Amino acid sequence: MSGINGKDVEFFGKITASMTHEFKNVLAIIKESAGLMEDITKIAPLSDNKHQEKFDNALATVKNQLNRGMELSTVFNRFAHSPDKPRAEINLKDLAERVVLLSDRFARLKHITLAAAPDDKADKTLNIPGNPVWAQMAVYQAVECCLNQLPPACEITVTSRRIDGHKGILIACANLQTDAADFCQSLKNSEHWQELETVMDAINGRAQTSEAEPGIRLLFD
Amino acid sequence: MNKVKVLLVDDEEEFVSALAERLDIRGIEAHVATDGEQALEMIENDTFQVIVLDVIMPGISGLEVLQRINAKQIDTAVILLTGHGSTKEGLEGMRMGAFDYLMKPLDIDDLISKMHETIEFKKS
Repeated sequence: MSGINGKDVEFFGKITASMTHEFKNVLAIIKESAGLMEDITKIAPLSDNKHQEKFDNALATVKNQLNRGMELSTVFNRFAHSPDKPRAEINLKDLAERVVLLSDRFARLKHITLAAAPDDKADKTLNIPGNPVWAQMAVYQAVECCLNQLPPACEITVTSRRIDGHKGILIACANLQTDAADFCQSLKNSEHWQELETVMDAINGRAQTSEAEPGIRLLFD
Repeated sequence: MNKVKVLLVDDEEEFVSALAERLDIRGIEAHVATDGEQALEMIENDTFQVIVLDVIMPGISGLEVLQRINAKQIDTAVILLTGHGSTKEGLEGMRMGAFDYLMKPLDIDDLISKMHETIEFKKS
């Protein structure tokens, strides 16, 4: 599964983690500078009200995008650190949430809503030993499998929970516009399904489709 | 009432300069150092109520600066600044006597609140 004994992934992760750290420093500088601009205009507002409003709106945009950039940077940094240890204790709720954040753009491009289950619906106690990179790959592949079979306006929810007594993650799809059985069959027939099975096998887990909650069940033990 | 006097130590000059200006607007006398050696020199020659100290810097790290402050028995409160991925350094710093640590990027109100908390703690 890994090239050069995993050193290629480790290299990629090390450089990416370092660059996200740099990127976050850039955002911190922009944040303080934008904050200073805001402070100054509070002390000395622009003489022209129309321009003050535009200035305030532009500054609000800067701050919103800063927050967005910082969140993305944090998520990406954690992702970049995944290869640090080839084997680690993986919390399935964290895993589900991280993959959702990393995959969100792919879902938005297809006009599909992708979300992690809310805290009261997800089990935060489920931990598995394993390769963090492969575990993320597996959940991502399951999400991608669903994204490629769903029309726009569908919803995917990723939930960490016990599935038939096993520690698992459910990728459940709603607003299918098709029969659940047909949807599950299309998942299994897709090119991504075999890749998903390969990755799950590598981490001693297995993937199943689910008609009851249409989508994919990943069982990790 | 005397102004709170703080030393900000971070190798990112634009960051620490903008932060100093913002603290100044809020009535806090903020001085700036952009490396550990400069910070130690300033600490030897002046008195600060709080030192806000970046953990990861080129040259002397923030933890090494803290170690030297301790060695000289300089009585000043230290708040560490950490980035993601370096919370363990923040905790290590607290074991070495730092009052607390904050994650970058900062919220200035959180920083000021922590500074006042630090000063009150030192007084008691």
